[in-house]
Amino acid sequence: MAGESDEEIRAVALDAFDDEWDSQTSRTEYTTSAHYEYDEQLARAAIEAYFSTGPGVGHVQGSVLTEVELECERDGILLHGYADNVVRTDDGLQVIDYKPSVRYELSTSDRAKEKLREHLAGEDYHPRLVKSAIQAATYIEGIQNTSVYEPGMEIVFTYYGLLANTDIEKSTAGVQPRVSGYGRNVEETYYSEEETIWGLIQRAHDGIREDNYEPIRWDAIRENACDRCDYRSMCTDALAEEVQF
Amino acid sequence: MSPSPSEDDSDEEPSPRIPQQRIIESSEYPMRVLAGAGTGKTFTMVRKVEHLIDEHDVSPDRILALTFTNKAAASMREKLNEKLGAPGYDVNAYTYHSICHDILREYAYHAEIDPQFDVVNNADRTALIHEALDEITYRFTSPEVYGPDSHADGAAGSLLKFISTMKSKGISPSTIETFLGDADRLLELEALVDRIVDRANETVRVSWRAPSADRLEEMRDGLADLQQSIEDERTALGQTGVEQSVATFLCGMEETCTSLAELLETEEASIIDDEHKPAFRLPAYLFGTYASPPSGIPDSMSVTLTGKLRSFVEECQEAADLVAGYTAYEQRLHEASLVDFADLIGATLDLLEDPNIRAEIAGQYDYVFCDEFQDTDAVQFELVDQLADDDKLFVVGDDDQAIYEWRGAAVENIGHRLEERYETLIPETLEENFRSKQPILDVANNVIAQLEARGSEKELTAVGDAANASDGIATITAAEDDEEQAEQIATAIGRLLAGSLSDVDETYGAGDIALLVRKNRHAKPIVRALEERGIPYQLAGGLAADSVGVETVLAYLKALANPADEVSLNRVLTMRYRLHDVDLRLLNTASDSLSEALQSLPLDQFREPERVRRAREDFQALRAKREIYSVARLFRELKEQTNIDWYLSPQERRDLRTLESLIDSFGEGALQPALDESFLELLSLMESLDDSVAGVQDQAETVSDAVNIMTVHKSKGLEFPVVFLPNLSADQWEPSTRSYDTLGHTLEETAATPLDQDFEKRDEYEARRIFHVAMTRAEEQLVLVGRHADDGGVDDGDLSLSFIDSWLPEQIPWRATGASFPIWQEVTAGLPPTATDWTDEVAPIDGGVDPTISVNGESVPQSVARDRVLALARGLLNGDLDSVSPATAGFAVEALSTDGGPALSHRHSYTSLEKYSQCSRRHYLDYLVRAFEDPQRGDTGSNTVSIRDTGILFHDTAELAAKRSLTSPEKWNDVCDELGRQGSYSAGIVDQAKGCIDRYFSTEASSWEILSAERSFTLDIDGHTITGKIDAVYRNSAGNLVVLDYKATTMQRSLDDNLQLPIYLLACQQLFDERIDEAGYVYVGSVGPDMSTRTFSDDELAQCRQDLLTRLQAAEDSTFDDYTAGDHCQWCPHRSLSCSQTH
Repeated sequence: MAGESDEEIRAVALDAFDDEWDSQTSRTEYTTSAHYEYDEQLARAAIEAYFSTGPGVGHVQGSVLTEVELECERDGILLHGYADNVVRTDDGLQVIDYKPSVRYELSTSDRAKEKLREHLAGEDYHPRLVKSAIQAATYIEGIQNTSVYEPGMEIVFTYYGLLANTDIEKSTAGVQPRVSGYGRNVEETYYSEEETIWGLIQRAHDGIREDNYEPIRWDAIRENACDRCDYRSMCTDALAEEVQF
Repeated sequence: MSPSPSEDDSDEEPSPRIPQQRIIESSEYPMRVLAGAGTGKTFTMVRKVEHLIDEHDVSPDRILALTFTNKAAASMREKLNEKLGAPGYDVNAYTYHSICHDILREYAYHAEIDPQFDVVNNADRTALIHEALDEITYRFTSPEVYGPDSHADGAAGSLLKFISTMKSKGISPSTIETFLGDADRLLELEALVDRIVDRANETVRVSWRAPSADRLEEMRDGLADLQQSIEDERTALGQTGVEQSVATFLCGMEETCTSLAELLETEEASIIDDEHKPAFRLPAYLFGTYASPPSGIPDSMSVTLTGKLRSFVEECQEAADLVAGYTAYEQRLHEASLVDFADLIGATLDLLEDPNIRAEIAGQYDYVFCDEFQDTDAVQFELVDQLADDDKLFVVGDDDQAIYEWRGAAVENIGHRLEERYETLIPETLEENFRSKQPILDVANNVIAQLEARGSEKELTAVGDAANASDGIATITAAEDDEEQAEQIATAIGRLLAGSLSDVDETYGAGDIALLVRKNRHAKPIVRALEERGIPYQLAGGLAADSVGVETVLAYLKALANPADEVSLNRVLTMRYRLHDVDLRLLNTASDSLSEALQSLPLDQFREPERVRRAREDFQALRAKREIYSVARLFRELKEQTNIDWYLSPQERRDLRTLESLIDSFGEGALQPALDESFLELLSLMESLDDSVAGVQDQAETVSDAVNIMTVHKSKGLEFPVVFLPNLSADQWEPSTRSYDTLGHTLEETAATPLDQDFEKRDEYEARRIFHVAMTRAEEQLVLVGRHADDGGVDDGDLSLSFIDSWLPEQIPWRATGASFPIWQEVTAGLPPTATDWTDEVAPIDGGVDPTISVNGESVPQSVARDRVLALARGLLNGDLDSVSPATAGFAVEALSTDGGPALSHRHSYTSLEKYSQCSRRHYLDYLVRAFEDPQRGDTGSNTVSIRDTGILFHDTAELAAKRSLTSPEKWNDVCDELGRQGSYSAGIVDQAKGCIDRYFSTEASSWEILSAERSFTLDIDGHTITGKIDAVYRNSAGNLVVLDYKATTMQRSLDDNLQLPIYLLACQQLFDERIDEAGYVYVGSVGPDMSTRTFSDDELAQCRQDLLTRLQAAEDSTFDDYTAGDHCQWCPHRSLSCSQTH
């Protein structure tokens, strides 16, 4: 797409969106047509915002890899994942992971770093943040094992929330969603907390390998995670808690 | 004996008190009685009806009595029947809706509706709302059907609420459309608000901080400019509809400009010299130029004029979208020949506009009596007015107990609206309360007296001993954390049950205690705390969500609807079939899907094949039935096939009733869904949507053996010896604006404007009334649990709220104080000196809920002791208990509890005594500790189940038929069909019950007059209480009274060798003035038709009383240790115990 104009890139993206929307969604998943159509508008508005006011065009023009499997290994632990987009920047590479919102992803705040340390120490429980940090580790390390990486390159890892801000615009012609995206670069947190994050990875890895699913902060898990867990209603640990005397 | 309030089932009617007697005997109409809580208003109303019939020869069928719920209507009929005999049933006791239903059926042709119309049920309504949502052009609102946080927040919830608000006020879609006008204009009106804020920014928002005379003068000029701009905007507006309403707002703003200019002038000196310095920021704040109150304006002041106008315009915009959905909903209702509750009344009102029809309908009644009038909405008010043709209207209610405004009820109906409509209205009040101790009433009076805009000045006073009581109020300062508050409450309840609270002499049973919550979620932590202590509780409908057992039953339904739902299937295999972990793993790791593996894996691969086999068979059988049965029927099959009830705790079984009644509601409507995933989704949606528009006003069903937990709304009309009110803090009782209130009010009457009142204030008034209702449920002990809210109020140097108020013009309804209910502040300020503080006594002791106890002389934490017991039990099951010495392994049960647990209560019935004479152990297990029954095995029980169900259906039929005075087998069969449908009985059982009806009509009893059916009694014998129900009391052809018990069984009973009939006769001595000495059985089962009766002499009854006393005394001491083995063991629900083997 390097030779395409900004406008052409936008048009291709929106065309692709239309095809994807038709194939990936169905009216029957929605209670009303109005809601279905609105969600389509919302998603399209997100794409439009990304390619008009957001950094989308640059991300396409500089893209060197998409949907690429990244792998890394440390101390016998093999991690892999699929990066949405890898962009060549002036100083190196930017790995981008698209999300609806970045609200619960890793950030560069001191508090976020502290939370990772608390989780590792078993003092508190921040599973979403840990998951986000493990993903960052996988991609930042993994990109360095690809052909597009050259030693000395600066790596940026970005969580990009396509629907970070949404609102509606009233109009007698019909309400329109107003959307803007927001990207957050978090590699700095990875580098400063590398040891903590790999400690977390190590523990998760060992637990899975050794079939050890004993929860560390069961009280916090129950309070924060069980309600959203799809398996709760069959989980004997959760049930035991509920029927205890 | 003092007169009892309506709720009392006491069989001996007291005499009316003087104020009640005056009302009963008065011939003056129209009359309104404002009757406070517990003052016997229904009692008075029923006695007045009785008086009219008895003393004034008014024919019962010339009297119309309207109430709110079917239950209340039935109860009124029953009371009149008890007093007047059969003529009591001739009084037309209806609900506001049911009379309209009957009128519309009769006059369907004139009303231009399909005579076969159905009343819409929840399922129909949800489906119609969803369809209507697609008819909306979304210009101002989001089409997202459900909100991100709560289903009720989305378009579906909004439309439902909008329609219900508008219909309760009798506002049609076209009225709304005419009012709102063009959508473009609504956008422009929003821009108008922006312009005013912009203008205020230019004219009255200043950057300086030190006021001076010049600066204040300049600001006064600014205010004049702002006022002029607003006036210009106003004169450009139209003279009708929404523009006229906005103009009213602008007028209020102009007045405010004038008033603020006066403030700046009058208070100039005090503003400059600091005392009222922040006043110079008031204009800019009130006209919306600050996002939050600036320095010097109290944080608790949230009202701005531009904010209020913006909210109104936004409400109009939202309505402009929703009105299309409203129109579509109405259209679809009509197409489907459905009517909703509001339509029943609306269509009847339309019908009554025809003077001839009105004369015909209203002409059927000479007197119209209305109960709970404070809960009527605008259309119900009109209905009553139309029906009370010649003003012989008697209205009773309590403005202080009006707690349904959020659903459209209008408290004015019993106040000024009634006074204006009926200029000759005779006002009466009832203030003598027959329920509560005086200190409880003092607190309740005090809180309600602080209600501004209260319609009356009633003051409740206790009578009898309660008047002189000085105790009855306790407070607990609640911990900040809800869980800790729950611990405090559970501790207090535990101590009440154990009788160990220092200042409470009485010992209470769990059923004496009620816990009334303002919001559903308040109950949850308290329930957990009660659970941990093993204190039995009952959640009234709506609160029973999150029950483990109910979720298992739901999981079963989900797994049946979709076998690929492996999470649900696993849940069922774990919780119902108790599959071993190894077997679950085997099934889940099989190459087939879980449901296929369950059906196909060879049983010998499993560690516990029997359990797998049972699960396999049950699933197979139920899957096959899923296609052909309705949901309600399938649900019954599920319970029978799987015996899942047995796997639920008594609490969970109670919880399950909520789900059952929800599913049953699908059996009544036009829509009969099959069990599929969309149905289950609908089920969960209905629960969440109904939170926003609660469909029922019925009282909660209460239980006598568990703490009753319910919302205050559900407790209306009930009474309990002890009432706990938790979460009494300002933030939990904070008033809020109700959606579409302002618009609804503006559209309701021609002269109404959006500035007539502060609608948030109305919610505050209602909160106060809810609290009043809650407190007045308590008879002996009211426990108030709350705390002061965090101080979000006034800082040093802030203007005082009252100062600000004094400068807000009267033309605007909002005050700086806004709407707030500092509930704990008011409670603590008004406490009587005798109120006791339990906070210290319920504070957590060392170890919290895990105290140290003594086990065989050793001190251990209670949890450790429990674990040890469980380990012993496990060892017993695994057969490896050898290493334990029986001498030291034993535990005294008492050691496991610090408070002794809830006391066991002894209440006896004929059946329980019979069981005792059979076997002491059985009595102990069934009636004292309420032990689990053995699980049912195989199909052995199905025959007895069907005989029992048949019997229940026949008894219910006989009861209802008697109450409706039906005397032909055809009519009885109709009732049987009706009840069969409602209770989802199988066709076979309905047929068997009809067989019973046939047999009944072959007996002589069917030609006798029925005087009473299913009459409850409480018989007191030397301090022992026996309760029960008498099937029927008849007057035979010789004119004598006879007690008859229906038997649907296969065997006849001896008339001589049992206590049942004499118990009934002894009870009748207390219930009826007339002597009854004959009793017997009517056999309607396969052993019949037959009837046998005998008479009992006084001597025989006296002897029987003596025998009873002996048995009662013995039954008090029933123990687990004594048992009698015999033939009865084979039917015993505990026959798995070793005792049955000894026979």
